[in-house]
Amino acid sequence: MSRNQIIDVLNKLDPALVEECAEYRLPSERNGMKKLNKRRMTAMILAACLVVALAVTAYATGAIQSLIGKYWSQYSYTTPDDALREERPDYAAWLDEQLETQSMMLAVGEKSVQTRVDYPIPSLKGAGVTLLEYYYDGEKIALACQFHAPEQPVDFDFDPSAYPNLPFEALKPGGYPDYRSMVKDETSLRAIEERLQKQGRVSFLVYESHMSDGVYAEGENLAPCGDLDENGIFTVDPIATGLNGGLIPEKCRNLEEITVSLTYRVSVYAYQLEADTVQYAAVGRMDFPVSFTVPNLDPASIPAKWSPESDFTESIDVTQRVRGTSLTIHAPVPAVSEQQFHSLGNVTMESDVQLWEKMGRELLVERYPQLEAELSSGNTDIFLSAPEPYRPLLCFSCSATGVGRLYYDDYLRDLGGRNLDEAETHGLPHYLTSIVPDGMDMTGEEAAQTVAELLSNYSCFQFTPWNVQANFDSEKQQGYYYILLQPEYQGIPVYETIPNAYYSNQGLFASQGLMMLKETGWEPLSSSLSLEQAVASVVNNIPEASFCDSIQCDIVRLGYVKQEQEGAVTLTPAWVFECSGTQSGQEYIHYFNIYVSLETGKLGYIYNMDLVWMDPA
Amino acid sequence: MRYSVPVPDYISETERKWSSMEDQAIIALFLERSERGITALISKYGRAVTKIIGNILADPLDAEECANDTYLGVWNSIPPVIPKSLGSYCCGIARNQALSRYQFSTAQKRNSHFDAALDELEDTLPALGTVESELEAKELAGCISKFLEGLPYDDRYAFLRRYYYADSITDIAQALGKTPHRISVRLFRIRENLRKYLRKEGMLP
Repeated sequence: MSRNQIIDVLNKLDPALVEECAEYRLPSERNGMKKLNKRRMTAMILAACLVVALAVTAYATGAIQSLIGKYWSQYSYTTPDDALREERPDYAAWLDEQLETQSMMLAVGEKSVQTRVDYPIPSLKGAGVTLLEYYYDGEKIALACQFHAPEQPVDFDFDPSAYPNLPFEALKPGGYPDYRSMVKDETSLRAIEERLQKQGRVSFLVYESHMSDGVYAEGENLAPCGDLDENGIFTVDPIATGLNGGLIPEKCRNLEEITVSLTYRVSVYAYQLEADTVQYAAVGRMDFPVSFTVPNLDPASIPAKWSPESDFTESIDVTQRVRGTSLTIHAPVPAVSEQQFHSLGNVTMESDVQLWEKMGRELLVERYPQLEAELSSGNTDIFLSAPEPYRPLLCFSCSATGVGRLYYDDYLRDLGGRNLDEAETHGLPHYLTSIVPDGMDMTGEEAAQTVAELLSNYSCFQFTPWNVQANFDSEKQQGYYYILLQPEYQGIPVYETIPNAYYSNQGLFASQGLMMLKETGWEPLSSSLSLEQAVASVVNNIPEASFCDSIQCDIVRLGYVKQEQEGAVTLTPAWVFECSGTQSGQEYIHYFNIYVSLETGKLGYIYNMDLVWMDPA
Repeated sequence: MRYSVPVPDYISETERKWSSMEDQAIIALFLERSERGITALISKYGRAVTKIIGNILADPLDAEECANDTYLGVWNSIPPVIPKSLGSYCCGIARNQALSRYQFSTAQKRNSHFDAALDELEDTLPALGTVESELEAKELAGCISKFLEGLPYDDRYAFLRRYYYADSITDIAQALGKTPHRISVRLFRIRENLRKYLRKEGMLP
């Protein structure tokens, strides 16, 4: 569409709209907006003062020394013009917007990275653009650049006779485009004057340069190029690129790195000066694309690569000392199928009463038929006693309104006694006893397998042995196994829920912690963190999450982290780093897991018995 | 015959009164064919006229001639026209005069706010193709008007001041109490939304 056609269309716009904007109308003139009450005004002014204080503090502490932060700090309530706005009825709305924008800009300014990447324009000495600062987190982009005009904007090698078709026309004195308005450097202007005086005439080309309006990435028009300041510094605007509720084009989101293209535009004019006459002709326009590639500063925003394609093909080997903590990760790459990986999502669950009824019937009624009458649908707790000698026979508790956790104990077959394994194996992850206690005719592994299969009948989870120990009841002269089980959901291990089981030759006689749940919802992940990103996140954040001087990780798995909240359970997919750590002055070893949420990149760990998620640094 | 309007170097006490004169009183002077009407018009709207012309034409000599043509245009058209709003009527004539002169200009450079503004629209709406007929232009203008009606007032104001009145970004920023950069971003967003709107309305492929 030509300019004239655009003008023609603009001329035909609704005259009422045009007239409405002939002068700026205050909201009160438009729709009778009420004036602010005094309290609201006071609150807003106090808020404004707070923002100024915050901005000043941020500067003082160096938080917004960045160009982006500095540029956008002008949103603070500091100028006389702003102060005048207090008179206006739309002051509150205006200030709200300023506060919101400024806090966002301060956040971007704090995280932006200072750099220096020069992009020279070929054939024009000194011309180019320098990238000074960038910020890209997968959803927001901000760049601060410096524009460099050509060092020699005037080219005297131009010979007009070589271009007979150039449409020269006379320029009126003071008219436009006067080369003096384009050639800023005194040396070039003096050279023109000297040649004119010496030769009586002079011909030359002038290169007028500026940044084009459009900024592109991934083929999308991303944002406008900001105005140049007196030093040629400009920003590609973060407001248009993700802040203030806007979204950058989908193609530009969550990339590992993004290439942003700007256009350095050079318009060339030919001049012929003779005595008092000036002739000029527009020779043409040259566009030079300028591209900068900047990395994504938020690894969590980058969708995961499938592990086998990752840098860690067989094992993860990282040894690093971070802020006083020595970290060693030496673990095989987790074996997860591509299908499993892509089918992971956030799972919500609730208690399943039917499983409890099934378990009650099969474990209780079949063994003790006289208890039939005690089982009825809807009961969630049973505490049964034998008629003689009035001692508890069975305890079976399962809360339907809670999260369906089992407490099962058959007192008639109950055993107690000492542990036959070494003390340091208690609670040791993935420990399997090699001892077969007296009175048992199977190994710990076989017993654990039997229990796992049995409990799988009453759970939506499957189980694998996590810690199996041999025990012996010296009073009853009977051995048994104490078994801790790792649940798995659809082949993915579930963490922070480890049921136990007591198993003797007479079978399972006690079990606690089994969760009797059913899936009620599944949501796909909005993004998936790669294994590399998770490792990097642990390396970068481990001093924050640990209380050890030395940390060793030899198992990395993809798992679900279980969280309970208000009677519901959520399984959150995460990369799990099973760690052990030591602290100087302490003899024992801490065993703990670090979770890196697959979706959010947050780091999870147990603190005071609770699962805590923290934002990565 | 060109009617040359003397632009006063200073504003006398009487003219100061005229600058606050009601539009209806100025129009009454025009209807009486009193040249005091011209002076009153310049006192009240001269600055706005000069500004809109200056936005479109970079050459000050051209701009001065154009301002004179504007006042002559108003003088010649009232009567029979009796504008509802003298200010916007006057600015409309000024804009048209400046545009006619602009279209004669052969300079291809970004020589004014208006060029810069058109650059932005050209960059943003490259796919609009051509609007060959008067009817197509009218239809497109109607569509853009509808889009503008749906915008918040400040956005509409910024758009029209930029692309119709050819104000500089700085001037718009001053009026709206925002930073120039913020305005340029706002305009960018409006242009993007306009493009989406036109596509939805079938005006764009």
